[in-house]
Amino acid sequence: MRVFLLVVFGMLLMGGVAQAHPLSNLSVNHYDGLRVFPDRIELRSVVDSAEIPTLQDREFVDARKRCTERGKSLNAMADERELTFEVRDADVVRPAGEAGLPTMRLTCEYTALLPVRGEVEVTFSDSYLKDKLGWREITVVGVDVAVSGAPAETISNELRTYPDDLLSSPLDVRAVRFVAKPGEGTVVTPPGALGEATKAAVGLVGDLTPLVGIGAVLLSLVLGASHAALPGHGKTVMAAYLAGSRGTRRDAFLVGATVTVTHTAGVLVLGLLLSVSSVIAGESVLRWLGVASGLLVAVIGGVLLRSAVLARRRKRAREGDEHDDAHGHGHGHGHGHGHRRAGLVGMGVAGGLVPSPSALVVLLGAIALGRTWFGVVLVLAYGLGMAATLTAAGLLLVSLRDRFGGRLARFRRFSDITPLGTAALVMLVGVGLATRALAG
Amino acid sequence: MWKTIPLLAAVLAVAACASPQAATPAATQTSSLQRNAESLQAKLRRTPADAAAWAQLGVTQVELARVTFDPQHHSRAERALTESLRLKPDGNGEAFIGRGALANAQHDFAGAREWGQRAVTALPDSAAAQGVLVDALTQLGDDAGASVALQRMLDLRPGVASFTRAAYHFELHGRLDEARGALERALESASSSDEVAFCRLHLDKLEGRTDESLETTRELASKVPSPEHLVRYGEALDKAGKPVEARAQYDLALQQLRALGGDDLTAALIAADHGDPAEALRFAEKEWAKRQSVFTADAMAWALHVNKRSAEALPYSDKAVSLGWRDAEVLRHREAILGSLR
Repeated sequence: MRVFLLVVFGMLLMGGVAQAHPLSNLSVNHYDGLRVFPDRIELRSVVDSAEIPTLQDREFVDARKRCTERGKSLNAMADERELTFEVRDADVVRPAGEAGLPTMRLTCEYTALLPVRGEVEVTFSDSYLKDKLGWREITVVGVDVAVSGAPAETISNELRTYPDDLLSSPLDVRAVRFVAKPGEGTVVTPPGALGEATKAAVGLVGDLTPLVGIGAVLLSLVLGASHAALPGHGKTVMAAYLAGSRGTRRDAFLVGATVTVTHTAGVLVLGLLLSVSSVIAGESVLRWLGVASGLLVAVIGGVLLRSAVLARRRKRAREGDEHDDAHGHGHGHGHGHGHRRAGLVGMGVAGGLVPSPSALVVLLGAIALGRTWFGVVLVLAYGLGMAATLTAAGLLLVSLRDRFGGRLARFRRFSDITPLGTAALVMLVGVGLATRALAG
Repeated sequence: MWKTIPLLAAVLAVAACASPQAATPAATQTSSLQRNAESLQAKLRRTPADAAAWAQLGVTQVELARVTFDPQHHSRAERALTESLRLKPDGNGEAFIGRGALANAQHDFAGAREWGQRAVTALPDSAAAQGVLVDALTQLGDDAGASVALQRMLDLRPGVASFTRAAYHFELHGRLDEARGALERALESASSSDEVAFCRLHLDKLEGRTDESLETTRELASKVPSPEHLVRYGEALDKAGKPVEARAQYDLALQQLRALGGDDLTAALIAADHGDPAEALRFAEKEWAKRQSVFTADAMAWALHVNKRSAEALPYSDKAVSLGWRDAEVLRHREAILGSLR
């Protein structure tokens, strides 16, 4: 079960393709990650094509077809028996490279049946596009299976970051031979500082005493809070919304509560799905959730924009016979109330819809160690941590606005335009989030 | 036992078993250079302040880029040489040679000349330093300077490196018999199978015996899709009567040169033959501004001709053959220019 840590931690460092390909814009780079289960081998095969080979590749039609074709150059033997890899999932993304030229990242997921009852010697080789220049890497981990003889950790993070060390040569591994036998699985470590903390949380889950339990909950709270503090969590949107819709302190708490509920539910559902089914690839699910979250924000922005325009028109209409600014203010507020509450809940849902990879790691780690209920508690704590950061940001904004907003309100024109501007901003950010998730 | 063998050894073994015919001299040269680089890397892990070892690593990586065509070695070479020069900025002749060789490989010939001169000052008796100068001066069109440096190189160390350069010098001067003689002497003094292969390759090129078959050029363009290889493949496709596929190769080569930059001389010739004439002239003028050699003169002549300015092209064509160079392509360009003026 611990294999899902591997599925997930790749996403911690997602994005960030350099302008020039680190291994030259002529390279085609290969990664094969084998996960040995008691009954099968799962293989994630990544091909990262730099600018020129991508341009050269005019025959590409769809990822699944390419993955089937690619599967023909995989060769695996287990004790004289040939293994056949079936394509389970295929995905292709085309991040922009140097000079705006496209690059191509093809990910194929394969499964081969292999019962590991006693000791099995497995050879695996990959001769796909064997003449092309590029990085070649193979890793093998065991899941409830002991594996020895091949590296377990990918040093390029599945072809996302190539090591920049002059004193080691680029990897060119085209074949591995390893021995698998029933036993303890491989322990993989997520990269990065946040990864270290996550690992600690998962580690804490392993040996449960009351003190350790409380520590793990606290750590999850901190992880959640720091995760929400990272950019890209719709904090700008929420802030703009609260400012634009004249929100109160209660509204800030409402958003926080919604984030916690949605996030916890999302992680639990995805975590359970991932651990019962091997068909779902974590990355594509997260991508679609990201798109959904962005669209939700955009829709809220649209509704907000509509009511702002309507309010403005009403105000214009009254302008002739009424000059009391405070009165107009109160009126507009009361009218938009129903919309506003729904919008805030929507905003919270959007903020919590995309499960954070580290929360998933915590949950899956706990499931793998047979402590599912505790994993759920940790995920809840994680969501609370996220909510705390977001609520704190909202409260800060509301109080800032209350303190300085009064002075600003004197500028009639400004207060008139703010709701329109923020609504437009919310919509734009929503569209942006959805596009970014789609481009993945 | 298998478990403990380093991965690289496993890979080499698999590669060797899978395709015995792959063990060509180029492959052995690659692996010996690779071994060389790895032992330098191991040494530098122990003594990271060794400026000389960093310089050797850089030089080795320039060589690796030459035999594998893999440009990523260039950036690694540059960083290794920069490190060497950081540790020892003055009188670091080895690193100067490396920077010069790298600049030549990246077609920055003015830069290469400068590094070559610094290398010669630091190491007056180094044939390699003279070699950097010979290459740079030849490409920059300084024929007299190149001859002097070449003679000095031959005096210092008659060997494969100097004889093959002498052969190229003779070839540019239309002295094909002497060129052949120089290559045969190079072959005699070749001490390894790599050097033998290198000399034979040059002899074949001189005799016009390069393999331009569809299969060979296709493999080359697939392995290293550089503009030069794509054009060779495209021309083979044209000969095989596949103009549409050929067109795709030319377009890809031009797209690459436009977007990612590179050698304007190559770009000028490709655009003149297979692309936009006006663009060809722009590339040619850009390169001509940098260096006035027989190579750029030929490119200028051809670019002007395809722009229907054959009268202006003639002086450039005259310059291209002024040393006596009788390259088949150059002569084809010249005949076309003369023909249109008749």
